[in-house]
Amino acid sequence: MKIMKRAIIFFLFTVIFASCKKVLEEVPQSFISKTNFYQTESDAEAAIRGAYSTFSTDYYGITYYLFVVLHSDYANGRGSQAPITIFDHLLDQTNIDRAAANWSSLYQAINRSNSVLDNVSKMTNISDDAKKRFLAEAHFLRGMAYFNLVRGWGPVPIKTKESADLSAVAGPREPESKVYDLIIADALAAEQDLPESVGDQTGRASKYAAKMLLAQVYLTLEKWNDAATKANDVIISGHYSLVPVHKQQDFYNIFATITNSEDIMSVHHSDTRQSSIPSYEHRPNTPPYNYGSGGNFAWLPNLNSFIGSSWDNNDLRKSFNLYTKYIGPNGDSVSLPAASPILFKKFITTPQGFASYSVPIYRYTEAFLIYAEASCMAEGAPSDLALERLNMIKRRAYGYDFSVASPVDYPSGLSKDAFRDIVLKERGYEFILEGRRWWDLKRTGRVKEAMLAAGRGFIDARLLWPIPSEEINNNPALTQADQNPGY
Amino acid sequence: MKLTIFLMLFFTFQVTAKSDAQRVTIVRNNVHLSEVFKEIEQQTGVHFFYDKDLIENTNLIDVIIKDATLQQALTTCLTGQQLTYNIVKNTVVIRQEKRFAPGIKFDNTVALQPPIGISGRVVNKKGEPLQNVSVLVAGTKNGTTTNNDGRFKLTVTDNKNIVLEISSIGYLTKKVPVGNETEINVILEQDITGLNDVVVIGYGTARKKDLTGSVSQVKSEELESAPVYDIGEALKGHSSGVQVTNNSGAPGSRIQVRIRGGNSMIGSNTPLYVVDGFPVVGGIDFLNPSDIESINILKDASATAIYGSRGANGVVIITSKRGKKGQKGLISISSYYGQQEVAKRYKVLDAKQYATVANEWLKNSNLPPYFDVDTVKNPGTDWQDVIFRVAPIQNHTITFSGSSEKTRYSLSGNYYGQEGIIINSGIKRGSFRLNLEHNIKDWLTLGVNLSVSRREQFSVPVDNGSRGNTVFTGALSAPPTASVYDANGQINRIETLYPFVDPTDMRNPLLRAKPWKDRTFTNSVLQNTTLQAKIIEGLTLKTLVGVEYEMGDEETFVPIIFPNDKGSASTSNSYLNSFLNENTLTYARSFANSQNVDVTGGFTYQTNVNRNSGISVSGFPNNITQDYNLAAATTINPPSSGISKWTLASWLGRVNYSIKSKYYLTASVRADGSSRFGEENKWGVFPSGAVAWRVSEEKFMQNIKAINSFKLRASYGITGNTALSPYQSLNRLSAVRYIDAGQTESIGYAPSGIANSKLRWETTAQLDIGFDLAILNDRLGFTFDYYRKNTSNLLASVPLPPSVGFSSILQNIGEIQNAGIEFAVNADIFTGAFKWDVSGQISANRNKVIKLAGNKDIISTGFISGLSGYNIARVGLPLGMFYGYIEDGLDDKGLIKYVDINKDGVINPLDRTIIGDPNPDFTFGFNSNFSYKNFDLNIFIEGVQGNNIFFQTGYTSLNSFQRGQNQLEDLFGNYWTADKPDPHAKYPKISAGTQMAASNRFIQDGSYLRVKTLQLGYNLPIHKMRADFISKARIYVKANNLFTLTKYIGLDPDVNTTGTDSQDVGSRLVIGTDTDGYPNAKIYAVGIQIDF
Repeated sequence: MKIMKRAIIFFLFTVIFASCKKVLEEVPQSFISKTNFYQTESDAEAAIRGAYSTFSTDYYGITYYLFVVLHSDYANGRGSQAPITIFDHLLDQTNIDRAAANWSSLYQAINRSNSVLDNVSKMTNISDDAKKRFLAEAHFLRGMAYFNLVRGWGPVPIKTKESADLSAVAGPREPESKVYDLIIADALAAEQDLPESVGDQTGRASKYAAKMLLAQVYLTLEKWNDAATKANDVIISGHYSLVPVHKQQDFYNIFATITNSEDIMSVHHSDTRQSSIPSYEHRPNTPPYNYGSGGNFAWLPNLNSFIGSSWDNNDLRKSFNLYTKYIGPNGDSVSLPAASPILFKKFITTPQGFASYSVPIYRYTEAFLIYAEASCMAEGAPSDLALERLNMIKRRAYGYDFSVASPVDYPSGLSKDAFRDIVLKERGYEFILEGRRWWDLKRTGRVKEAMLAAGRGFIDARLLWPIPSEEINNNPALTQADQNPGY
Repeated sequence: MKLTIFLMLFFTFQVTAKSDAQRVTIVRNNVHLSEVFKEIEQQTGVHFFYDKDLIENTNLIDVIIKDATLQQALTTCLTGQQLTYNIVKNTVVIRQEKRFAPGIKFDNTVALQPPIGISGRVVNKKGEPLQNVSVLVAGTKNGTTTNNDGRFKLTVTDNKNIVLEISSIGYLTKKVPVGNETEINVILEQDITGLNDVVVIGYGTARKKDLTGSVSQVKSEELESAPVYDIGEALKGHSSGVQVTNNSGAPGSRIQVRIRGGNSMIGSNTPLYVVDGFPVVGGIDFLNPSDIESINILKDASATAIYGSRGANGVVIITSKRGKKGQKGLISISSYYGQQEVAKRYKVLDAKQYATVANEWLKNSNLPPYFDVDTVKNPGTDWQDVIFRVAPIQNHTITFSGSSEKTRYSLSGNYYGQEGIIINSGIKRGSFRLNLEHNIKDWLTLGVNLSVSRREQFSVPVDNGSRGNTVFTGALSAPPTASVYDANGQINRIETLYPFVDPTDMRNPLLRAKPWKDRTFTNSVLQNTTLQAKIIEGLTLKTLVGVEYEMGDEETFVPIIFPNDKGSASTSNSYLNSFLNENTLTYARSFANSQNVDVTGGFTYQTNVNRNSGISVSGFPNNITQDYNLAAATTINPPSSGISKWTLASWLGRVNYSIKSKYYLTASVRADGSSRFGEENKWGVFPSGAVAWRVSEEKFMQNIKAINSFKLRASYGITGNTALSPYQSLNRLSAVRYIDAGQTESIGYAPSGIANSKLRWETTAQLDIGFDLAILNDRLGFTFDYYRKNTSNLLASVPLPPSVGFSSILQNIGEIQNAGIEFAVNADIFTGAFKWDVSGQISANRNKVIKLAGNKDIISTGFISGLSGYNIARVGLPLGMFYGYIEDGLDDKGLIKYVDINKDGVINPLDRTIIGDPNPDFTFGFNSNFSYKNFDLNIFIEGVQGNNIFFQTGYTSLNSFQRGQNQLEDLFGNYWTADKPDPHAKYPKISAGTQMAASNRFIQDGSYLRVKTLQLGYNLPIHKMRADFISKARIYVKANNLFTLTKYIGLDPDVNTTGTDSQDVGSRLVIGTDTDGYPNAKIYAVGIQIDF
């Protein structure tokens, strides 16, 4: 009896544990599990934003941006980025790692796009228009990522399904033609279903962004007619117009704005999600270009290239893109130090030290230059329209009304090759620090020639970037033999 | 009849004092004794045993007994009845009072004698009374304990042939033949072997001699000598098999404790801390070291398997001080105050040397010299003077403790204050502790442990810095030719002074002086309540309900100092709450022929919730409101918040079985169900078994007088490491940000990994073989252990080909082995007036990677720009070996050449090789106590032998002036010059083009021997001073980190600046690096201890 009594009193104090199976179940609260996602239209929209977010800041992040920018003849890297612009050497380990990071960013974009394509396509509780748009955006993002992969690395593994388990880890390098087939299929699917206009939502893809992608792809594949057609579609769409320029500062209406009339697509930034390009261009505290206390001036203009003495001083883009003096602490004009006497200044910070303008992905001017080049190549000689469209870009750069003939117009009657040379040079000036030069040199087979002209050596192994060792080591379908030459 | 009497007499002499706790209340008139006995039976649970005839004819009595003990009640009701009683266990035997029994004849063989009272006093060697000492008639259960004055009284029948066995925890048991004496005074000697010490083990206690597992004990006296903030640091050198490393000398910095090596690559390697029965989730830095009674370190699987999936890293059981039974009220005050200063500084270039080197740099770049060295004033600015200071440290504790008949209590309050030896750093702690124990019923005991603490820590960036990004590297790299303040009295912008300095690389270290701020507040509460019920004799049910609560608040503020500075601030909060319920049932029983069984079984349930939130802003108009008004900033970054929860439900059981205190067997098992494990592996079972043989108890050993005790032990068991953070096994989508339009961010979701529902605990199988030996009258004791631990199912972040979209997946792949030996010795060298005892320990651990995911090397992450990672995990080698290039002198341009290991003609990462080992050959500690009269002297020495340190400080401060920062003095005169091109010059060309890779250049011998603490005390002669209200007063002086013997060129070889608990294998692998660590301080302190 006594024992019973003690036991009963005792158990009154004991917390009785309900032995329910659920007690060890994990219920996530601060994140979402796939099982409770993909239910509503807003889930689908969040998923496509997840895919867009691989643009991070500056377009696949600054590592991708700097890598493509420095693969050029007009810029020299400084510090750890210096080996990128030493083209008669293989990349050093730091920059091999950068190449690997870029590979990862691009495949992350692909996987996130695949995730949208696999999951949103199965959703039922969503309007057809929304679904079409999201899927088209995913196709667009995937196609763009593969386009960047194939141009950088050549043949690459193709993934068209979300990586949800470990069943599809292996993936051989597929021939470039197969990658391009996928890119074109994706871009066409995107072109078909993307909205005609996205208004000021230029962080997202429109039909014309897809056409720009197609135009670039066709240009790269030398499908001149297709490239010209897509570029022409953009030019005559009526959604875009060139921003007038009369003095060099007017270019800030393009490069220091959130959006503008020639912004087809761009990576947007905010105070808390800033572009870091200015810190790579400038020294610290060099107003009015950089008010920030950060500044690595890692990209130095290579004046032995086409942006040196051969560049016409009347081209407003020259004074807009380069500077030698800034405003010192006492308000006077101070020369940049001898170690970096000239710097780029396309992207700048505000007096608050912020860099929250949008970084272009596609600008309207590129449609003009693609049209000029592609139609000339298709037709064997520049047409009047091709010449006019080229001249419009040049006129604006010199401060003239772009719709009226000017003293700086290129003459008619140029040969195909001479005209193409001019277009490529114009592209060089127009897209400084916009990551076009390397691809232009590669697709036209002029890398070595340009490097030599800019006073550099070049080895062919630099044409392709190294496949990440993580990929070769962990992808069962690859061996060291699959590595690009030199690495 | 005769038989009855015989039995009664037999029982008479086996009195036990056990039943004095039962209370009796009877108020009756005219009752017969038999009814009173029944009543007493009901109230107390005892049984009466008597001859019916004996009480049949007794008179009816009036009884008034209120809340009396059993004895009092019996005495009351038997008075005048010519009867007496004896209590044997639960039985009361009633018999006739002998002297008044004329009618009964006695058998001659049972010669009765009148009982004899024996009294006496038990004291220690100093003559101080010992309380609660057990005094037992050998071979019987007749015994008692001493009172507060050390006195005892005992009744026996025959004092000639009996022997008293006098024993107390911490003292050698003494056997005293009584002979004709009735007054016996005994002096007990302290037991240095501590065989009878009670050791707290998981879910119970055991006497040290009965232990089958490997458990080492550190007592409060040993802990008290070092002035430390974190009790973990006090363990350093005091226990074999335990390696304690400071991450940094910064006040309140992380202390890394490893028991028998690290088992896990990305899971925690920190032992499980159990504070007064509560397995704590947060750290243990809320504890006041002065509150600690003892620390027991469970090392082998037999001891730790009862903690199942949390036992693999060893278990540290911390028991706080509590009031003792029979202890009078005591007020203790313990205080010390000291000064700290940096033990060693770097010698850097002085102004003329700096100018010379700068000119050399310019010359090598074909630029004109900047300095006219002759006009440069020496020595220039000593930037280490700017940041180092002499700083106070103090600690004050007051404790009230004592007991009453039913209650034991201890209450303490503490203040600890330590300013850092580097500006703007320091820590304060205030804490409070209450331990209370109360007997509610004679079978039910309530216990409450409550600890409350508040900490405030100021930090400045020091560790792992480079160039200008921390205070310390800022000071090392600042030019001695520059002044601290500019002509206007403003902080000098040293980065803008010289054309050869990269402006991003240098900062005036004073920028981190106030109002720059990084402050952390933490409040902790640890509370547990236990109820312990004796259900029947030997069977105890214990339930514990406890809560651990920790609230942290960190705030930072970066002020505006120069034009265009924006200023920034952040605040973040974290919250940890763990709930624990444990229910255990223990049954202990002795059988005939000296077999003992002790069975424990139970169920436990613990949950934990972590919450955090934070916000950061930038763009302040001024410094006035600091971080107190975040709305005054122009940019508000997205706030962050998170939650993480886990649950652990467990069943546990253990059997201890022993025969004749000679043969021991222990078996335990725990089943853990953890929410953190994957869907397919929720439950794990962790068994262990151990045997021990006390060889010295065998007959054949009895003749070997020199050996007092010799025990062999062996154990094997499986333990686990939860390792996983919550939710890791799930399929997850993380919130990400993107801007569709304008500058408005919107939220997207992106998959964050591939789920793995098979994730589970890491499994460690451990074998331990050891012995304990005491010789020469227990004056010399040895403990030896050999162990081998194999950890499999290692949690690893297995790399994936990036083309799947993720870089890695968590899997249980890999295996690590730790094997080692531990040896501890303690000796009482002199025991007379001049007393000297020493203890020492030495441990060696060998770690080896057995298997890695994909059998591929893992190389640590580089964390200083330009220097790649240099620790490697490679199958067959110890974890974290240094990996890099081997230098081969200088080339004709003065640049470093490396050995072409694979002889392929190019120097590339394939030419890296093993260049050093961060793991020590052995670690050791040596403790020595002298005392003479009122003086005592303690010396504690500790050290490690045979490890390498990667001296990464050299990469920024001895890099041939690559970036124009000041350098260590060793550079001067030892560098390559074009005029005298020496291919064997110690340092390469002074130029920006000079590169350094992770190479044998940075590998240093990290062995050291350190006089960690030295303490000289004096006990004031209170009696002579006639201050009898004081029972003890001791004053002492002590010095910490007094002296270090080492070849290491850095400031402090006891360093690992990158220690982290991160789950990133690349960061975790960085072992044994010294990257501008916050140097340890040398401390001189005076203190006082007074007991009233």
